[in-house]
Amino acid sequence: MQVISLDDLKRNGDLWQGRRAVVPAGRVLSSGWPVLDELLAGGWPRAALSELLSDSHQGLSLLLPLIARLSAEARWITWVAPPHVPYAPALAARGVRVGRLLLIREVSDEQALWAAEQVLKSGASSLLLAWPGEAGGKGPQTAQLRRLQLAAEQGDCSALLFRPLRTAGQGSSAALRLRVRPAPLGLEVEVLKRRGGWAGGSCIVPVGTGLRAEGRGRRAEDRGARSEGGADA
Amino acid sequence: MSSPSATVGEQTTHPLVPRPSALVPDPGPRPAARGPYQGDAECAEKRRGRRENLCKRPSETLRSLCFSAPSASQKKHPPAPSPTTVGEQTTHPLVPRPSALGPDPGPRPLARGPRSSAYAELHCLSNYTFLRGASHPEELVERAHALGYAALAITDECSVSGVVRAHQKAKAIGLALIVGSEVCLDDGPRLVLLAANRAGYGQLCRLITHARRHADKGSYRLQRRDLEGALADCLVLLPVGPDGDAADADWLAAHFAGRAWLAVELLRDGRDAACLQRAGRLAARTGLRCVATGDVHMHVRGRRALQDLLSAIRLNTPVAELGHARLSNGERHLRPRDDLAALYPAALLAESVRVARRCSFSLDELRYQYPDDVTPAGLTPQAWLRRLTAQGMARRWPDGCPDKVRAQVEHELALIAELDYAAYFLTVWDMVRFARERDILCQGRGSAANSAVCYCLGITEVDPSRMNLLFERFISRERNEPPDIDVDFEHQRREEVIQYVYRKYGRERAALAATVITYRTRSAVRDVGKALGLGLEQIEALVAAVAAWRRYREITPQHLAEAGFDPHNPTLRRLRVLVNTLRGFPRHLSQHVGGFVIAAGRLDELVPIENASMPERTVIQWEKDDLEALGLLKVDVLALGMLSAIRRALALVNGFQGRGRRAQGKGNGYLGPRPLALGPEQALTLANIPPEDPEVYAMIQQADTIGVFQIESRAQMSMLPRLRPECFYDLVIEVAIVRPGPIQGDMVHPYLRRRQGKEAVDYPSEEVRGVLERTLGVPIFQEQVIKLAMVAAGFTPGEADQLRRAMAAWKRRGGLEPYEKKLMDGMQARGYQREFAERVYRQILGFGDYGFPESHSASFALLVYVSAWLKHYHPAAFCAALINSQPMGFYAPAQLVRDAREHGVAVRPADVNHSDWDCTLEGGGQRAKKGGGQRAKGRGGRAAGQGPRAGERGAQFSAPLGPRPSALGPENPPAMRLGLCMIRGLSESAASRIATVRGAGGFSTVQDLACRAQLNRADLKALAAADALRELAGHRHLAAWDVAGVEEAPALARLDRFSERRPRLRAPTAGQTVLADYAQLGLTLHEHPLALIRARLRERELLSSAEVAARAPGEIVRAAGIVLIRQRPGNGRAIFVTLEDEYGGLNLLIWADLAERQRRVLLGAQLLGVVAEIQRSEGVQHLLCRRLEDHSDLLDGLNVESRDFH
Amino acid sequence: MLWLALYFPQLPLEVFTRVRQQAGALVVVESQAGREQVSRCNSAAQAYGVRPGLALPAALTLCADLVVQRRDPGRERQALDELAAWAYQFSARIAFEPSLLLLEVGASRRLFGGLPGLLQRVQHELQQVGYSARHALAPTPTAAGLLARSRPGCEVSDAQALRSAVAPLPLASLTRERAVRELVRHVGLHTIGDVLGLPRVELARRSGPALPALLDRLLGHAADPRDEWSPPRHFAQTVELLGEIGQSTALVFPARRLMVALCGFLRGLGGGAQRLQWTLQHRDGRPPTAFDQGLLDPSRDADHMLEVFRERIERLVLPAPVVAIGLRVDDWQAFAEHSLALLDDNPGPRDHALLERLSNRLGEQRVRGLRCLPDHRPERAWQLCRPGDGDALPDGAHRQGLSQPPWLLASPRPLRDCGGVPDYGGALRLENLPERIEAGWWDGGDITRDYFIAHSPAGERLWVFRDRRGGGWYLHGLFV
Repeated sequence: MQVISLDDLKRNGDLWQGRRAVVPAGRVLSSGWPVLDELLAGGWPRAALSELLSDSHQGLSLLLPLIARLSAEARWITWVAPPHVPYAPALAARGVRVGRLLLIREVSDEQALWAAEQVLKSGASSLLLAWPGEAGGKGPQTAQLRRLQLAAEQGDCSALLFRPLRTAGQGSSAALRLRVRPAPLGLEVEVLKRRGGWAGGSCIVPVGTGLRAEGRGRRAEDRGARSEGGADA
Repeated sequence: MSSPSATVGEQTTHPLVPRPSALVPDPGPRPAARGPYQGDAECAEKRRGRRENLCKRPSETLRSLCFSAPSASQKKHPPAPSPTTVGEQTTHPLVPRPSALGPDPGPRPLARGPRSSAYAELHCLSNYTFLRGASHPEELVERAHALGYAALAITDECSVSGVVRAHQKAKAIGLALIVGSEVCLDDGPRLVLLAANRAGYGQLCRLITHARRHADKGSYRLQRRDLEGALADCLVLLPVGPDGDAADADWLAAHFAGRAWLAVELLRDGRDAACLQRAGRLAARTGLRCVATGDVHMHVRGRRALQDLLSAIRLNTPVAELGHARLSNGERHLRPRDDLAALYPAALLAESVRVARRCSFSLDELRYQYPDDVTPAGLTPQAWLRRLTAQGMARRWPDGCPDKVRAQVEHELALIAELDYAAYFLTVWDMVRFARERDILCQGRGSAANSAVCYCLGITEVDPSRMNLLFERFISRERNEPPDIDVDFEHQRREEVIQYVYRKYGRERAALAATVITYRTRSAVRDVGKALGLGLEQIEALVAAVAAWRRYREITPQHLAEAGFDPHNPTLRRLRVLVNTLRGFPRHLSQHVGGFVIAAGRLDELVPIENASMPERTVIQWEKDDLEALGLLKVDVLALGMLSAIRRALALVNGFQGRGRRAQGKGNGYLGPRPLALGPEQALTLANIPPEDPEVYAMIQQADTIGVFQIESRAQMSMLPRLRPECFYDLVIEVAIVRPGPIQGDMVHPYLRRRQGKEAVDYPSEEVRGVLERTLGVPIFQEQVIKLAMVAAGFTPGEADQLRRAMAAWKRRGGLEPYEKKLMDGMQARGYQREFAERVYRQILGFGDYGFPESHSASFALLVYVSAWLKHYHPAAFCAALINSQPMGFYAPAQLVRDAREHGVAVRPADVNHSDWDCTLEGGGQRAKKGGGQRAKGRGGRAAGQGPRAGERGAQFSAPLGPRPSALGPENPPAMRLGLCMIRGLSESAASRIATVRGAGGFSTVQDLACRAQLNRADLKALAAADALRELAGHRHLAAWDVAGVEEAPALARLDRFSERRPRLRAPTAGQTVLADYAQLGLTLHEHPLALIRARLRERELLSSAEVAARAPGEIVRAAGIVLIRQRPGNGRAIFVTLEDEYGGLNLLIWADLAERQRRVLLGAQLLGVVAEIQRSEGVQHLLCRRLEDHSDLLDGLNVESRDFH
Repeated sequence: MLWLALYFPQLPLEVFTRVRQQAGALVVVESQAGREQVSRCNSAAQAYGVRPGLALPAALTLCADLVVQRRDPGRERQALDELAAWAYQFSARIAFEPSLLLLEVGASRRLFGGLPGLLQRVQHELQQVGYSARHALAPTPTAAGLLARSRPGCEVSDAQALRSAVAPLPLASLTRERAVRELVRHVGLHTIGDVLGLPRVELARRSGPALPALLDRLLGHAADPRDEWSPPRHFAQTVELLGEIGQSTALVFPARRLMVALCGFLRGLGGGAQRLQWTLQHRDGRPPTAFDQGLLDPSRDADHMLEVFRERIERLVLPAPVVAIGLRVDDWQAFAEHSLALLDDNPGPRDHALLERLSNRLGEQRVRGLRCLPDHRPERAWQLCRPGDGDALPDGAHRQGLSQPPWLLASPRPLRDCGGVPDYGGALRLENLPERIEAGWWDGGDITRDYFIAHSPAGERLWVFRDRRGGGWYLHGLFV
């Protein structure tokens, strides 16, 4: 990871300076996975809403490098209604500063959406991970998603919603919608919708056990023998 | 010849894993010369092939760890053994067996059959890696053997302290043991070093020595450059972690090519895959081979809790707060080979055996030679010893040596020659010679010391012709027992001898033996309690209860319950179990009391040498038992306070008499350590003190022995009137009999009864008579027990010797049981009564740690006699010498002075105008004997000595050689002047300045004293408080006032001082004086504190010791005194307390139940009152207590310190 | 001037007994020259023969059930502070000595109807506060303190009486100074009277100048300035309600009183409060209800506080009627300090506005941070905490977690055994080289487990373990 000076951060708007500035559109956050960055044309949309659709909350691993990086900054990384316990030692081992994590848990769907919106627009959080609908409700409706999208822009906070695959048909104002499913070598990511870009395209992200550093910097095609599970290729 | 895949049992004795001892010691790496495997070119070829496999394709290693489908793995590998027979994690088929390194379809060089792979553990810590290793070396060896390991390396951290034990066990059960060490470099990685051969072992020892000698005690320092080029014959293993440093591996490959490995330690900590992968990478990079090792910390998984506990103690953190400093699991144990096979690639396991085979060294190869630095060129040690002995004989017997002695000397010399011990005797002789040159009094003891040769050499003063040749054999030819000579030196000057030895032989050749300090119940409870997070008060309460548990080898739930704890409390249950395991664990190395090991060559190639906690001391890493096991010889250079006292007493006597002869009336009685300057014909020495003096024995029989060596304790003094020693040999017995061994073995009372003629002396057989006749049929000495085992139970000499060692160690380690049966069977087979056999066994148990050899006893008895003689004829000199030699002995100066005064010695106070640093003798000490009768009554009515019998016995010995007591002029005895050494807080340099500048006129004022002697304020205050300025300033208060006004810097002394107003100050009261005396001097020459409050004691109807003495036995009395000593001897059933008042002492006997009931009074009272029954028999009086009372309030400020011995 | 000294001889003990009645034997120990010894003991302990000065192990041999407290000077000092606050009603000039309060009452006695009235009131209230005191009155603070310790009850008001009152007292009671102690012992000067008779210059040369100066202060020949007590750094007040309140909204009015008082207090000190700790006492000794009210910024604006308070108590359900309401503010801070803190290099994401909003709406237990704990057992290797408090990382946590999953199940879920392997939507495939975790023997939570990374037929990667003791399979984490 390159060393970034404070001035750089300020210039790029990476550092929240207390003013709720409107963030220039089109800015992205590198995911830390080269193949994924390539697929997403640079990384996760910044200050925008993204959705990860899967059968069972897949996809946290994709975000770990980003979480690790953003946790070095002064803002919260907020988890709203996570389905399980974020396992602190494993996160710490992957470079996450766990003191920066803010958990909103055991809340109703309504509370979750309210909290997500508060977090997004507060400007105090750099990243929001949310599992709406976890409490059994129907999940956010289009209008609510729109509110979240606006809040994300307002607070310069990237929001990632983990939603069931069955919502793929539902309309969404999210800047990015991905389908995530397990693959032998990691997670297969497929772009369902991308604002200002093409849909379609997929890649396999080699999320592994502690081998992220090894997997980074190589393209999906030539991962091959160096990554774990190569025998299955 | 067995195949490589031999069964478990066979493998340990596999001829291809050569027993190091079977090999010719051969330095230098010559692989071709070693076992048949080494020449096997095909095998070597395969090895190379495997290595490439491992090194060049690391990714395959990794790939193999993740199986695509269970069926594939089933096909590729032989089916796993049935779940019932194999270790836990292999019981289901889906934990794949990683025996293959990858999907290598070709033939595997070392195909693993249904049986497990051969394995040698090369990285294993014992509990001699203090507070890390959690198993004894013996346990590790036994376990490794049981698991069928091909070999086991003991690799304690920078230490070989545990290897001798491991070696003995390994030898006994037939396991190949490798000696090695784990080291952590300051500027590099952690490494495991293994000794490949004798030379490698020497290099390892030197490296450890270097590392330890350059650091504080208990730590070490090593750097890369210390290892580079220093370990030509050692193998070097680098444990590789998941982020192992490539630079380390490069360094290893560069400096230890051909004998370095990357050690892969798979410990199921979640990082195994990463470790394997990393090791494979590094292997590929450096060309080094990988080998499986286990980083073993314990012999079985069950020691996990103890290992956690050790970490907690080491890190001084409760177990619950250890966090990640704790090991995450119990895998660091000696794992079954099946388990290992499931975990490691087979090649890595096979490599461990290959590495082990390169280590051929055995501790049996160590050859020790006595140093021979003493013999002049051109002579053999034996010839030089013979010459010195002859010279000594001529000196000892100027008129010709008795034939009997001459014959014995010849016999001894022949034996010494046969066993090649001459150099050893000469080494000891040289130390004694050095001491003698420096006027350091010394005396040898031990079986060999009491030989005629040692007497001639001057090592001992026990005249063999006087000893009636009690020692038939001083060295046992059959037993191959090394000669045993301990030499006692004056305690304050022993260091000179120690430093002489270091100087003469050098730090590489001489060092002290170590003593391994092990956990005892008390320390274990403390550390375990702390580690389990118990509170301070709980730990203290447990520790207090420990005293009762000490006797047992285990703490049981009953013990806890009896002490008032809930044995079912989970924490206490854990504590109990852990304490029981931890007990006996080594905690740190300390130094042996004085056992020197000296080598002819480099000692640091035999065993590492490290720093002791005392400056200028170095110790080896082995203790006494280890030395014995390997046949290394030590010479005990011990310290004995009584020798200092005797030397000083002799000097005082000689000095005072010499001064008398030269008619120098005034001055210094102590002429320094040069009594011989007066001329040998007059001077009193250890050698010419008149032997067998009936008056001395009469004094001893009356138990008038305060200050006398060895027989001054309460137990000894109560024995003396009953035993009534009349001759030297009686003293030998006296010294040996009042010891825990004979007491616990129930030997004292039978002996007493027989001695007093109350019981017939009979022997079950003539052989037994031969052994026991001199002690009236009761075994008292260690030698006799051993001899009994031989003559009565048919032990061979070798077995008897093993029994002797076992006896010394059974309390710590147990292991006496096998001898019990052999002893009983042997004796019954020879027709002895079962009851007799049981008694002998009981006696052996009782001897245990405390077995006292006759030879030691004899040497001590000589000092008993000498000190008693001095006490009788020169009480002033004797008392002064004892005080000047403090701290030593049983009594504080107060009691010694009191005793001297009761023997008519005039004692004068410390005074700047009269005293030196030490106590001195002054002329004109006429003083009527005071209160002798009264005192005798106080001690229980000692009768006057009954001389006749003693006289008869004594007459058979030669006439006194030295000056007759009568010539000393008892009609003009010297007075004793207390030295300035008595004054607390006064520096010795100040005292010597006072003595030097004093001159004939003395000092006139405090200011004069301060200026001339350049005393600082602290010195002056001490002098004033001690009432040592009375001639200069008046009473204490005035002296203190004056002293407080003295300006420290002499330049500032101005005349206006004399214009000071001197206030009127009250003189101290008698009570204040006594109090101040005790505070500053530890004694008073004024009245006894109780004399000051006698009237108030009377109001409370408390009798004095004198009044008690006047009452009849059986009477119930009420008395009180100041508590001097509290003692709870061995079995703890009774507590002995000694009280003191202005008339004498009272001996209390308090049974444990009363002590328990009135513990508060017993422990708290300074002035203790008792209601008790008088018991008096054979001149010994006890008060058997019924009730205790605390009268300490009467003392108010008059606190007299008591000496507590809990 | 007239000084009233109140000496609390049992203070070290009473700071413990006052909180909780102690029926059994209790001692307070302190370290003297490296060993623990009894400093104070209650009467139950005395009955066993325990007395001050006894070594702790000896005391424990006398009474095995002894409750041992370590002397706590901080607590004693705090107790004196509280007492000073209480005593502030009697005097505006309050000074401390160890275990002792000095009140200048010459000025204030008239307010209480003269000395007798004042003393009576002092004694009466002291009883209620729960401390036992001895008192003395003297014209100088030094003498008052000395007399309270050595001659309790002594009341002198003029110089001549003072001299004769102190003359028979031991010199050691006046000063523990080393030089003086030695003089006492060696020159036989036992009482203050002994020293008062000595020539002053000669005495000063021997004792050092401190002793004559002390004597001067004792007798009022020299000024005796003292560090005087100033009001406390924290606020704590309780309002007893006249009637009982059953509706939480009805608490607003009494709470306002407290907040007004608090804000006045804060204004006096030039500070603001950021965390208000409320305690509601219920009828019949039911456990009190306590909650915190957080503020975005340090504030001393009662109206603002009240607004936040309203929002907070709306969610509050009272378990029982309230009889008293208490407010406590431990850490008020100066405004200046707070604004400095904003410039801190590493302030942490303490956006109080967000947290305040979330917590007040959702409840604090739903707005949490996360921290690592140093334990090998996964279920004990983490903990919820206050947001932002989890930054300290235990040593070794990095090493442990690398092979472990980012998701942990709240509790392990048993898995069916399917022919020797666990079943989770079909037989799982296990990766080799399990991680073995064995820990917890010391706290009864001993586990011994083999953790595997497993692949489900659906392609998920799971973290499962086999309980090596019980033998079952469990799912404990997810790699997704």
